[in-house]
Amino acid sequence: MSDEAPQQSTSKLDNAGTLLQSVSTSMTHEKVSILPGHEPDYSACTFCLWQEDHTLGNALRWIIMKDPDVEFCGYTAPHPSEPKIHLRIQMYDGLSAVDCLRKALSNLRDLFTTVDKSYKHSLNNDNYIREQDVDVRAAVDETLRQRGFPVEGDEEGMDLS
Amino acid sequence: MSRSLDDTRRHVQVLPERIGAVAGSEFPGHYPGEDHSWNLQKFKENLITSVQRLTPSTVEFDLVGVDASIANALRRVMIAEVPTIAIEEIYVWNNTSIMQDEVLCHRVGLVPLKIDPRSLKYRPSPHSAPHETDTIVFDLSVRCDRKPGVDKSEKDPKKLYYDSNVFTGMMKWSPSGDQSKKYKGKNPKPVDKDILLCKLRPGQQIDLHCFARKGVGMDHAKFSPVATASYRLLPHIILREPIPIEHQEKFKNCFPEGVVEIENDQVVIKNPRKDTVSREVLRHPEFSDKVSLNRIRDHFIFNVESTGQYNPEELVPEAIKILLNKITAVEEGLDKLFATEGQVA
Repeated sequence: MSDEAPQQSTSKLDNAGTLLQSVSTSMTHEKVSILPGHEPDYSACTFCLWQEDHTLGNALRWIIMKDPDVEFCGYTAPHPSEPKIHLRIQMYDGLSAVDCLRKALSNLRDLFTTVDKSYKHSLNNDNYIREQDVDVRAAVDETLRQRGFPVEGDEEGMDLS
Repeated sequence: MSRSLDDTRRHVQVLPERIGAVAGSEFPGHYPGEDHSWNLQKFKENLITSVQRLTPSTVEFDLVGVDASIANALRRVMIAEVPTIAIEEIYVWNNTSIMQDEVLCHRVGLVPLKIDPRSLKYRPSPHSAPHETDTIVFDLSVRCDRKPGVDKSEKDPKKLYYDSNVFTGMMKWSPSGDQSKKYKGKNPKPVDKDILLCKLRPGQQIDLHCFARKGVGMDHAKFSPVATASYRLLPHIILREPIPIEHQEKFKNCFPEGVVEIENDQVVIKNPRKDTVSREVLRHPEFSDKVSLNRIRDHFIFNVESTGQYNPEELVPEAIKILLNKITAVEEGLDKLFATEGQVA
């Protein structure tokens, strides 16, 4: 077969990331790396998350800030043409920022699973309005008729083509 | 139970010239003696998800008790990362219409296709050859001809010619491999069959061979499964003082129909959800001290309109699935990083 793209570690998932990998270079990037200058005990470090953006960045930032052991957390998308974010975590008492990130990821998973369950429960059990879409064509035709314009199908001789 | 709407910590103030109290403050350490650390149990108690309205194309639902970053993540994923199938490559065998090849191909690419995106895989790389598991093929072959025996004075192209209009309904799926068995009863086709692609005149023809692939909205907007996916915050109107009887009608008219009613000579806020928060009421000096406009910071009213590939109610669960995959991917990245870290550090 033809040349296969370098497989990511997560590509056992049906992964959209393969679409976005650079075509011109064969360079592959690690999903997660730690930028230089971190504390030796990882109590303060900046993670680089490849192929992530504000979608995960902001949600992670929020849930990490919910952790009382965190002194500071912030994220940035350094440049719009690089598909990555930098996530900075600083911990109190020399605790590990890596453990904090792992805990935050698992909390975020709980959160989304809860929202998912709650949404499906509402969809299946709640009594909400079910109706048909507005028939746009009928509405437009009606307006045209009211204004005295000819409407296709009403009479001979009118055609929009 | 959910929290009261009168809890001022939940209010985003809508002031005459600006918005106040935009950011939430409920983080650990902000309020002495209060615990605002992440607590799943508390989150479950406060969370309300309630579907309000469902039509064949749209779903409206309320999401209460989450931070804007979570609501925004859902919205962003629905727009840019929930995959759909769209035509990505076209072989133009023949095109003698007045529309240039590239313009015609671009138009064909934008057509929403009724194919369950979960039934196809992403192609392994941009260079890989098409395979029945990652590609759906359509043919569009139309030729315009003059109808015989039409009156000479006739001007209507529909009566003069065969196939003078090329519609999406003329695209023909050509199954390969196991596809005809796999898609039995739900043949791949365009969502709408009456989208005009091009117009022809006698002798002109179009012959296209189209390859549809799975993709995501961040690559090209044609892959986005939603026409709109947006949220707004629930408006909350607070009456600080009673409105004098002579001004009640004017007060009522400051809001859209149905928001404010007059009952027993008293002004009543009936349905703040209908309010557009136009701030009209704040322009009048007789009202500006008597009313305060707010929005509820954690009450999101979502409106999601599907382009037809998914049922509208499926979009949120799909978006959540993708978010969970992202979380897993980062976790695996961390595992990998620390499996090799021993040699690096």
